[in-house]
Amino acid sequence: MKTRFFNYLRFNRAERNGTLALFILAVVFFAIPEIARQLRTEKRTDFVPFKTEIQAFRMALGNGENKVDGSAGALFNFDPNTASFDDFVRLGISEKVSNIICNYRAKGGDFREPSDFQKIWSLKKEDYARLLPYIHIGSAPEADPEKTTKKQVAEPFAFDPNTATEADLQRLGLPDRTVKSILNYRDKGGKFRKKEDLEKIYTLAEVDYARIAPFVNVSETLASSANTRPVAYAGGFATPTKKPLAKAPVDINRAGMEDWMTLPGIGETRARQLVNYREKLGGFLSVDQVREMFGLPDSVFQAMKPNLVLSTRDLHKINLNTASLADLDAHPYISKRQAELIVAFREQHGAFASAEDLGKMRAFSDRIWLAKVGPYLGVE
Amino acid sequence: MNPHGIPYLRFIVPFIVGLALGAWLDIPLIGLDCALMAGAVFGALLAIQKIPFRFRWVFGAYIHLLLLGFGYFHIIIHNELRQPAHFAPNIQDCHYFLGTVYDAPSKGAKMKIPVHVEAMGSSPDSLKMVTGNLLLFLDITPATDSIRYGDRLGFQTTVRPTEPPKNPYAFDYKRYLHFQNIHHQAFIKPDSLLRLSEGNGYLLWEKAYESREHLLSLLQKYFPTTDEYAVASALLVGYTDDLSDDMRTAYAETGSMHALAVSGTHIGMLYVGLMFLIGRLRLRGKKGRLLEMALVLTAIWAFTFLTGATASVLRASVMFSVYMLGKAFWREASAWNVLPASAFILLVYNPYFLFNVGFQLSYTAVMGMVFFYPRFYKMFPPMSRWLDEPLQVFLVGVAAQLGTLPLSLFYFNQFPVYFWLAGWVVVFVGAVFLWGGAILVLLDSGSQVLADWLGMVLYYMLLWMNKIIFFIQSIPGGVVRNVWIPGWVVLALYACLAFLGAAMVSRRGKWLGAFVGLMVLLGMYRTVMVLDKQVQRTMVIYSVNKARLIDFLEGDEAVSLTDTLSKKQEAFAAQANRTASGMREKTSILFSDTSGFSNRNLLIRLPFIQFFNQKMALIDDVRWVNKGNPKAIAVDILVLSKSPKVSIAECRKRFPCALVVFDASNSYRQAELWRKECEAAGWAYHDVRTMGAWVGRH
Repeated sequence: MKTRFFNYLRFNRAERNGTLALFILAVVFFAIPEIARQLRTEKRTDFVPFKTEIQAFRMALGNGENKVDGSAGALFNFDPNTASFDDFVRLGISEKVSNIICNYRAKGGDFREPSDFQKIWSLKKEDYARLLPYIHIGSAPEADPEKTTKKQVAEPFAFDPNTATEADLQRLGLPDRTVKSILNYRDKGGKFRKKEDLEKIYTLAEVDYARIAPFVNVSETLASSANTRPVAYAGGFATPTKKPLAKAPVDINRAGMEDWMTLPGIGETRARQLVNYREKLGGFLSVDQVREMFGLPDSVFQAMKPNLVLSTRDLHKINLNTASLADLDAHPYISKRQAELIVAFREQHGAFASAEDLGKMRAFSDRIWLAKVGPYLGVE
Repeated sequence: MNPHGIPYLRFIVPFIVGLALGAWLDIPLIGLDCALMAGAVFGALLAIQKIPFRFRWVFGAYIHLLLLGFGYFHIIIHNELRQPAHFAPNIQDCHYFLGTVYDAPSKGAKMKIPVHVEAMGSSPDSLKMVTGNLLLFLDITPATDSIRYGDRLGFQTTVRPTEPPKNPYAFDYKRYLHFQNIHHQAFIKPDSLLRLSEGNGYLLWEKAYESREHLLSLLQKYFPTTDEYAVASALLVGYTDDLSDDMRTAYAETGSMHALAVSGTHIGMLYVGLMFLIGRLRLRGKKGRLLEMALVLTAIWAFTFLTGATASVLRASVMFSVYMLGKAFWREASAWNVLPASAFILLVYNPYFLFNVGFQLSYTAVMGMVFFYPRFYKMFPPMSRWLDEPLQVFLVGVAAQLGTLPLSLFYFNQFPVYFWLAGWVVVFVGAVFLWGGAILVLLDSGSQVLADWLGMVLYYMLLWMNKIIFFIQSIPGGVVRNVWIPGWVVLALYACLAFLGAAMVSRRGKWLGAFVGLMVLLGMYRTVMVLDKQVQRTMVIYSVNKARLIDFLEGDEAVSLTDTLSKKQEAFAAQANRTASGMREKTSILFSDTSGFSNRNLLIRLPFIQFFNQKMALIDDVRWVNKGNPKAIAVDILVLSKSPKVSIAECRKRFPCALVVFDASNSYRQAELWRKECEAAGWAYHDVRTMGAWVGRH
């Protein structure tokens, strides 16, 4: 046994020569490239001269020094309503975006809360997240320095926001804008039942709220009265409507033009558009579909949303097998091209067996679209 | 192998060499046609002469020379550009065209319609008769979708010669179209196209295409889901336009693409099935044999034309028909005689087939099967039928893969390791589906209930085949990727295979030695190439329409600076070059990432880059040139992108440079302005959009 084992391990001369050839081949084919890869000269290019030149170039272009070494920029407290272009750049926001912010302000845009900073669409998410803790919105941006000073010296005193006069509120150091907001809110039937309700005033800066909150003194009667529901007020302070608010909810699948017009922000034109849109769509499936109507600003939709209800889902379906090109095209969810494809498909392959057949055509493979449009299609 | 008794194998070699030479040189020799004619007559006279034995070789040498000349001449006159009335010289000022669709239109992102141009002119009233082929690109609309073979079209457009690829090693569409005999292309808006009349083609083809469409609509009825319909139409009709990219990749990476492009595989399965059926008929004697052959040929050609007679099926049918005829009339006919004979016929019909990937793969696969399969099979002891049949399928697959290996490495840069695993599935399903499909077509006009049942069975079969293929694709280590070999290595690898074959036949050591020796040489070449690639320092500014893509390659590691690109766009522009240059690792950096990047030899601080000692400035915005008043920075290369409204003179003042490169993200107009400015001032420039990717090596 022992001899057999050793005999097995023995190679004769020819075999040894063959093994040598194998070793050489293995080295040539596999080892050399790997070894070369490991031994590759670790040459380093000296970038210092060019880096210096680049630095100088950036300095000369102005405000470039933050970006030279690629650091994310300095961090310091700032007010996006007042910070200068250079401040933004120093914070590590790109020049392009800084410019956009300045333009936004120049056109009357402002930041009322730190989270408003996100409204700058081109601002990177990381930048926003990085800067959020440093945003300090001092006051509403319209407040000129004089008023700001006044506010600072203002002495808070106990007051009832439901009864306080304009002068009272101003004495509290609130900016004119906020004072007007509060008065408007009350005019429209808004009530403050507890001091937290003040937070609903959109223009009231957080710092101001924190300052006056301890002095809010809501009268007992109002605080305990639960029978009068606060009237929904969501139109934003810019909504100019003076119309009495809809008392009864509007059923979006039944409402006529007059019903729509009871809603804030809806005049004759929009009411007609809404009715037409519903007609074309074949009925709403959810309240959110109202928002999809072209030309309806989101602010208006948000304002009327609480008053919208949906009672029936009685849809008018389009028959895929009989509808004309114009019928199909008229539907808000179906483009002209899609309508053409449906008609062409029908002509070439005969009737659809079910509305789901549509999904098998390559052009209609968008599942989200299919789910949206599906309920409006039938074959009968 | 004895060269006597296989004359066609000996004929085809000089003929193919002549064809290749003609395609490569492409120089028409004056008087070659007369010389060949006279040579043929002389050759005929020579053939009937009695030649002394020691001069017998003269005749053979003469025939070789003649075939070489014939091949050369044949491929040169085949080029449609050499037609005397070709439209090519006048495309500058003619914009109105009249032409007939001569092949089935194909669908991709756009409709592609091949047209024989018949007349053209500078206005619709002044049309002149011309000839020439043109490829039209159209948006897919219901109107264009209904254009068929044989339609006569009138259209207004600007015709341009096909363009060479813009990126190194990228797919050469110009060459591909050249071997379809198309040298011009035109983009057409749907409203500048008129369908004048239908049915101007040959009746046979019209019927063939009609029958194909009928079959496709039938399949659509029984195979409702997109993927299964696409596979069904590829398996039965060879219509691959509907295959999704995922499906294509899955089938390619499992080595079963041949089943989806109707070709020899299908005709082969049809043949085996027919022989099985006809064998039951027990036809005997000479008459029986002839009847048998007539039946098989009819069935094969009926299948060919009913499925639309695509080029690949036609080729496979010719191959099988010649093979069968040869076997029927000369029982001892060697496959090595019959196969070259069929290739000869096909190449005389269309010499450009020689450069068709499908043609090359078909013949190399069949040759691999004919040679290696019986030799592999002999190595196994006889076994039971249940083991034997899978073994045969496996060995046929291995033999075919061996025959096509060098070509598939060359064309597809990858090798599917589990081809044999997928082979069992696709061969079984393919054969069943081919016959099932035929029965389905018959049943559809007969019993609807039975057709529905059969359709259901076939549908689930395909569903499971796709699932299995995707599963095989997901097995790790399934594909050897990024293999890149130059053309001559393909020839060297075939020489290796030939040596191996010779060694197997002759059992002589010298052939085995030649095989091993050549393999060792190729291995050494690979080693040298790998070493060479370790020290490369290359910078490539790719041509990507309206976007930027720059690779910095050091050894086998690349840093890629890009705009946000789709994977497809990036792969289309850069993949071939990255594979060819042996890239192993890649770091991608977006232009929008302003934080910069640096490693040992690359510094990116936009708009500046330094790669080894090459300095660059990337100007994508006017502010780099107009803002402030910095000191000038000398660079080697100035890259202009995204059409900044600056002049080269302004740029050069701030960034003195040796070369200006305008990449493909610029507008045509802006690049044109810069080009003129550079030419007027005599500055060196490179316009990526028109001159192709810029490659810098140092």
